[in-house]
Amino acid sequence: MTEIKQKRYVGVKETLLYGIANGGQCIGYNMIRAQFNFFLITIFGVPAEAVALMILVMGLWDAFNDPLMGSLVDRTRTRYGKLRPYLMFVPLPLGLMTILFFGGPVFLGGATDTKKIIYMCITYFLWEFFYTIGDIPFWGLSAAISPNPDDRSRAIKSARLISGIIGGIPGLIIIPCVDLARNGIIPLSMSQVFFILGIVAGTVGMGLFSLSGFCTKERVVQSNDEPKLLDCFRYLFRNRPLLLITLSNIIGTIEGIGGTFTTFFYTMSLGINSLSILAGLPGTIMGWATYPLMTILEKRWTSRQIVIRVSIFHALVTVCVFLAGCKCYTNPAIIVPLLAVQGVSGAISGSIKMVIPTKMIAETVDYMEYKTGKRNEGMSFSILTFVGKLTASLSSSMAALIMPLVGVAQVGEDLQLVENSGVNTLFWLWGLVTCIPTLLGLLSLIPYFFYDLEGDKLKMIQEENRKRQESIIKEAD
Amino acid sequence: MKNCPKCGRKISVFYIRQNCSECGCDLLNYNREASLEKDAERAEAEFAKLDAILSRFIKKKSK
Repeated sequence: MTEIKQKRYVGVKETLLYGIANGGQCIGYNMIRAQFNFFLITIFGVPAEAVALMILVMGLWDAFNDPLMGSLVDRTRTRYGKLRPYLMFVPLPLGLMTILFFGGPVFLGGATDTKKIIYMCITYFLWEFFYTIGDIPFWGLSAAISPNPDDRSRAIKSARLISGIIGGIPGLIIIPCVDLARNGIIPLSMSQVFFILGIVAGTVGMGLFSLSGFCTKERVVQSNDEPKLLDCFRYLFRNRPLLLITLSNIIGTIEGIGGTFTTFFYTMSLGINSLSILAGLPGTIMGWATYPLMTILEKRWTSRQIVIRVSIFHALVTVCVFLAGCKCYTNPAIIVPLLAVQGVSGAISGSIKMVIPTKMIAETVDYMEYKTGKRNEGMSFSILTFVGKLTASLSSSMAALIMPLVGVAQVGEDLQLVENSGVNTLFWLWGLVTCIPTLLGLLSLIPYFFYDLEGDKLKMIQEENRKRQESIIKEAD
Repeated sequence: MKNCPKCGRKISVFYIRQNCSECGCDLLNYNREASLEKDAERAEAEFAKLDAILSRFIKKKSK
């Protein structure tokens, strides 16, 4: 029987299609997130205060929206499964909302601010709503695609790798298109350029995203009776391993502060911002290469061990980089290679943390099935998506709090040095782009020391679940 | 699935309920074991093909 469990159920084609679907989903997402302020304020002409207020309200709404959608997914029972129906249906309205969102300046070019604000709120709210209904089942599917943990791991790696490649395309296309339109080389206004890009993201991106619904299968058997709405929330708080992973992710927010100071460091300390591209290139390549190589680590260590060891390794690398450059942090000839080394280590750690904790969340779903008899992919992965959004805002806020302490002030979109601040700002910046965030980020490992869902315990749980699922199958036959 | 595997009733693609409206058959889990076996066979064949391609590529490189 154990032999059956170890079989591979998800083929190469399905694994790739799951990844391509995530790539399609990321085309629309990255386009909206990367161009949000520029598009709404500069192109559409919506007042900046209204945009800021909407972001705040939407952030608060996400706190309710994500778990609510998660519970809705967990209570779904259809002949296509509980996750796939959403993935089949959602790309259509999501694609439409992407087109309508970017079509705002074309449809309402000369309208009043009030009309523009109403249009922006409606289209963005609906876009976010449909995005959430698609995102939670998509990641939930990584736990339901197969009873074999290796299949799940391959699906997650494929999704993260391919979305990293395809998802980067909007960034490469938008900037040249904007420049071409601005300089009159292409006979289109900026509004038309964004509308066309919106149509491409809405059709191609969502077409690819729909592959996750039509070309995959849910192979993990669900209980016949759906959980009650309140039970969905109760189960979440009984899921100790999931709470530990969530806590670790929230503490890990602190590591994100480095990113805020990177551009400023390159500009102020090294004088050329584009050196960041040079320093970042080896890391980008290493990040992609890590996905296939991760299997080697998975064979040797448990998920928890991988996360702990890789985080410590990366922190040590950043300390070495900091020490090596602490006397010459304004010399690009030394600093750029050092940051490239740190980038490689960061990319290895980053890619691993994109996959392993997601795989661990899938295992916490197995744990809850063992405890309650019901799987809660929806609720568990809604926490993943919500924490992802929360941590992005938290790290920006933390960075904003640190800025005055190191002699930096934010003026508009730019950062500026504060004169006579009494601190060696450039030295602090060197610390903030190297070892300070990673050393503080080690605090996020504390919850993992209490995490015990691995080894024999996990095997026993998965074996018990398999027996339960077999009895459900027998009942159906 | 075009027909219910138990009673043979035609089922539209837009019929999404888990059970057949006629006989109550569990349309999602019916014959699941065999379907999983089929998936496993297909996956093994696909991975065998991939392994063959990769090993041919590695051999070419080493020459």
